Amino acid sequence: MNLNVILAIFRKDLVSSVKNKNILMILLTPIFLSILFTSTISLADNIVVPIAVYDEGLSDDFVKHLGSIDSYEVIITDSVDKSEELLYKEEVAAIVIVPKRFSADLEKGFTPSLNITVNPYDAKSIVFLQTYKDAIMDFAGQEYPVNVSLNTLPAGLQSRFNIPTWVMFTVIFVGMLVLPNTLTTEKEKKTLDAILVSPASEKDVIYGKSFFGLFLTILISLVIIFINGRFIGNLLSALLFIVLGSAVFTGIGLLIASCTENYSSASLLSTIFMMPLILLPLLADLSREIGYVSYLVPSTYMFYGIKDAMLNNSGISELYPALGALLIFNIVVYTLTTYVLRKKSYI
Amino acid sequence: MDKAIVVENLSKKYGDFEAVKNISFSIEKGTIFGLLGPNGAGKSTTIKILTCQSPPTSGNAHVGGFNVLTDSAEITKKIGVVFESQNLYEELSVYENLNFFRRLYSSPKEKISEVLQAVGMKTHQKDKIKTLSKGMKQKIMIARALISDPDILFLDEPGSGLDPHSAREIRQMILYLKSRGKTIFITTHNMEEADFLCDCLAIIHKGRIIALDTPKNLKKKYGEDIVRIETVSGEIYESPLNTKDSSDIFKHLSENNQIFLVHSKEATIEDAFIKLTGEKLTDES
Repeated sequence: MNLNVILAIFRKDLVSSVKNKNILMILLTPIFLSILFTSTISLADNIVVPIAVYDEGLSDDFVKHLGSIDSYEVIITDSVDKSEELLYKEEVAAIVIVPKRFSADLEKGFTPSLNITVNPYDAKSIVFLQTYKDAIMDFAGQEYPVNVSLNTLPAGLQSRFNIPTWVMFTVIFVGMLVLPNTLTTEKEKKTLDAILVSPASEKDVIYGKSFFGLFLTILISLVIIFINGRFIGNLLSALLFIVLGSAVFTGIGLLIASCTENYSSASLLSTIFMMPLILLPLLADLSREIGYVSYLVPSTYMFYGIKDAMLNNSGISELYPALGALLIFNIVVYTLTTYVLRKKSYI
Repeated sequence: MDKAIVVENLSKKYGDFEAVKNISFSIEKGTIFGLLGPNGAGKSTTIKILTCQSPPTSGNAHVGGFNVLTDSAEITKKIGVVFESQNLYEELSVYENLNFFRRLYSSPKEKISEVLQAVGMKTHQKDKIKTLSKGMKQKIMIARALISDPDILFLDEPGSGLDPHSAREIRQMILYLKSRGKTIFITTHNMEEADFLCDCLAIIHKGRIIALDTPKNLKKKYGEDIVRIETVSGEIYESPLNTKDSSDIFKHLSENNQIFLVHSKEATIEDAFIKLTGEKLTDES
């Protein structure tokens, strides 16, 4: 292993990536998505839900009451069919069919029926489902039997819960898309041949590129942390997980690039592998089976490691099994990558 | 004279296909050695073995006194390679390309301007590679191969695809490098280039070396010098030079004042190649 050679490859890749628009786009994607997500969450407070209301008769006051609620945009229709049509065209998130004499029955103390249909794929329907009962109780003059004091985390603290997810996404995304790009381009343009007839070995190429990938993923992760608030919890543990996680996903990216002949095959393969690697840790709590499967992927150890370090302030002494698992993944991935690259260059 | 490269019974198989079959040759230091043959003859495979990019299936080779099987780290410090494809970093400048390879060899920074001066490209060091012509890129390829000041240079089809002017410039550059004491190994399918440049030439056909000598000797051994006589009435007579036939024809026509023009045509490497293989060696081959 030659440190000068590794640094030369690192510097060359850094200069190339700045001049390569595709790589720049990939690098900026996690940052852009993180900003977009954060701004979407803050906008959610001001959502207005469009609903279609059909009154079968004599309940004008109820329809008017719905219309007076700020978070609803009421569209009065003249038939059930028309209401459904608006729902199917996604012009409204929900429809309310008010039966004849609904208001009068309510006034008399009866329990009339109200027919509501929502489009669960329309995100705004969630807001409607959370508020429609309050709207009816308010119209009936009833009060909620408990005085609830509902609080939420301060805005600055909310985003820190996203940090482990965004850091994991960044590390996987950059490691598995940028690195295959740099290596397969070297293979396609045959610049790798020129490197390998110099004193640089296959190992030097792997380490040089990994160093470059590590630098990028850590840099983008720090930007993500900065965007989402500030660093909290155990800094050393979190950084260790970011570094080991970056190394393993950079290695997986290089392994994919070593096994494939061109960039399009490498990016296809990377995308296929990337999905379960991102989703499994996030869905691990949904079922015991997914939980078991998630232990087979390195992203789980990285995700929970960063989460515990940042949110629970866990130190290395508590997190060493996950660190050990990531270390083993690293050894396996880099041994395989060096073996494959050496074998391929000798064909 | 010392040997720069020694090849002994070298073979290379890809599955069932034998690309190189038991070839042997040696190259004197400070000379230009050419490996001439059509595409697919085994030229590039031989270069790959000698530059440690691919191990031989059997046999052995020594480059600069080092074994290709065991001493690749030493060999890579002694050689420079100009690849057939112009494998430069297109987005980077000439300087950035050379600076990267300079770092790989731990050569001093001054080497960049030295090699650019040698190939006449010093004024282009800030230009991006993608803006250069093919001939200019080939000069940068040579500059890159020289960045470590190697004793031995491998040039895979150095004149391939270049316009005549650029090809001539590259040939002059190769001769200049020889004058600086470099040993040069060239693969080519261009017979003119091989004849002009090489001190020693091996003709490779279907993985085997079928002739190995100086270009002059190859032409002498396998080609024929021809005399071509055109008469006043437009008839053309061709006959091997310095034979009884050619003397008789000349004598007969001259006595009758029939000679209009007399040409002599020297044997070419192509004649030798055709005689040896029964095939023509063209650029399309």
